[in-house]
Formats: sequence, C-alpha cells, structure tokens
Amino acid sequence: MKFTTVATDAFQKFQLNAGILLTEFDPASPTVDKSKIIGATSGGNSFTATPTFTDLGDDVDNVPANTMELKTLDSVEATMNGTFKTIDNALGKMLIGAADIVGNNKIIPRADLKLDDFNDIWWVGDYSDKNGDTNGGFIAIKLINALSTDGLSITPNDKGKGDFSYTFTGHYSINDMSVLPYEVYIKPGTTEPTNG
Amino acid sequence: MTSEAALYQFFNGFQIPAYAASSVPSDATFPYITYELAIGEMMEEEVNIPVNVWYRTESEAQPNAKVREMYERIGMGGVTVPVDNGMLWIKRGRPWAQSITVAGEDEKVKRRYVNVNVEFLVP
Repeated sequence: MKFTTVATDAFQKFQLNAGILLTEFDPASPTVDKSKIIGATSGGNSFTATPTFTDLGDDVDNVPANTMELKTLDSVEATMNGTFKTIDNALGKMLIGAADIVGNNKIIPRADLKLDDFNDIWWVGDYSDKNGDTNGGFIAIKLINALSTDGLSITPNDKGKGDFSYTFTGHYSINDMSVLPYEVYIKPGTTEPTNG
Repeated sequence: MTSEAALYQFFNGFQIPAYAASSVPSDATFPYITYELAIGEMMEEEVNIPVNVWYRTESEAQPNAKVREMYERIGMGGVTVPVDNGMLWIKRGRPWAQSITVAGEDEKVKRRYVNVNVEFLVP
C-alpha cells in the first residue's frame, strides 16, 4: 500500500530503553558518571512540557479562536515523572523537596523552601542506530531548577521491592524569565573506534 | 546483510559454532549453539528466539561461562546489529537461562536454554 510505509532512515532515529536520571551531565562530553545517577527507576520515565497560551482574540467579535497572530505563550510547565526503585538519603531529601539531611541517616522536612532545594536534573537515554559505549547517540533533557512537586511517596509492596514515585517540575528564575525550565539535546551517534 | 545473516553472525560470535536449529550438521561436535530462526518486522512486538547452548562435559562451569558471556555481550539495554536498511535490536529475554535435563540423554550433555528477544527495526 502506498501510504503504509516508514522513512528509510527511521531505524536511525529511535530512542532506546528507559534512560537514566542524573544530577550532572555534559552534552559536549557525554560520558556517564555513575556516581551522578539519582536512582534506579522502573517502568520508564516520562517528560512532559505543557505550554499555557492566551488567545487575545477569544473575546473579540468576528475573530475565530486559535488565530495564530493573536496567540501568546504565557508559560511552560516542564515535568519529569516516574518511579524510583531505590532510595538513599540524597534522593529522600530530593523527593521531599524542602528538607535537610542531618547527620548520616536523618532527613528533616522543612517548612520553607530555599533556593538550593532547586537543582538541575538530567534525563539521558540512548538514541540512534549507533549507540556504542564511546560514541553512542543520546537524547538528553535538562530540567532546570527542578523541584519535587508531588512530594515523597513510599509504596512498599508485599514480597516485592518498594516504589518511590516522583514528579520533578522545572522552574523559571526571576533572574532571566526568558529562559524556559528545560532544554533538549538530540545527538545521533557515530561509528565506534576500532581496536588495533 | 540480511536479518538471517546478521543473526547467524551474531550467534557465531561466541567462539563456538552456532547453527540455526534446522541446519545443525549431522557431524556437529560439542560444544555448539543452536537457535530457532524467527524473523519479525518493524513496529511489531519483539520476537523471541530460543537459543540452546550445548556442551558435553562433566562440569557445569563451561556452559555457565558461555551463557554468562552471552548475557554480558547483550547487556542490560540490549545490543543493536546493522542489517540492510535497518537494524536488529537484540535483548535478553525472560527468564534468561535455564538448565535443561532430558531423561535418558547422555548425562554429560549439558544444555542451557536461553531466551533472546529480537526487535526487527527493518522497514
């Protein structure tokens, strides 16, 4: 059938596997520092960037809704959510949001937010047909000034591992409100170096 | 390279011969690998390819080591293999490996049944 087909290079443009969440990642030097992995996840991760618009023509006679010249972008809500299967003090603090780690084993929730409760986080996943350890392609999303906005949720499972659901929301900064709370990098891989 | 050839090449990358299960030579000697050739298509579910690793030995160590080698080669996220106009995405299946004993068979024949799943990203 004529219109039941795919592009010939489609196989080069698939994103593969669930990816990882990191506290730090450099797209210009895309190596994985495993000490920066926030936690092990289950069931994949989901990123959503939802814009909010104002239609300046919606109360004007004789102007149809969704006239592009009259539409303005108010803001974008960028969220990353999923479920962690592992947790430690650092992630516990991150999931609570406003909290402090006291000593080695105690996390005390705080009644007020501090600016250092907001931290960039990265989701990075394999991309493209060239996905080797050295030159593998990737898709990376930087969630800027991320904060856990659904709080801490611990769901122990009978005869199973516990679940720690998360929702991180990126935030604008008053220092430069033209900077949206996320960035996306899509980099195809290249051929791996050959040994010898 | 066709998908069939790519699978043959992949399974022959473990230092012992590998044969499609329907093409095992009558004079094949242990150890060797057999796999059930199955071909899928793009945008379909991944295809399960049962693989058997055969050794004739009194020790479990050699077949276990070979299965471990396959496990590590495929890796947690799978491995992609180029084919004509596309690629195969080869992944670990579940359960990964089982030891199979058949009553009446030579007790020195050690068989490991390995589940490999393949997604055919080939238009």
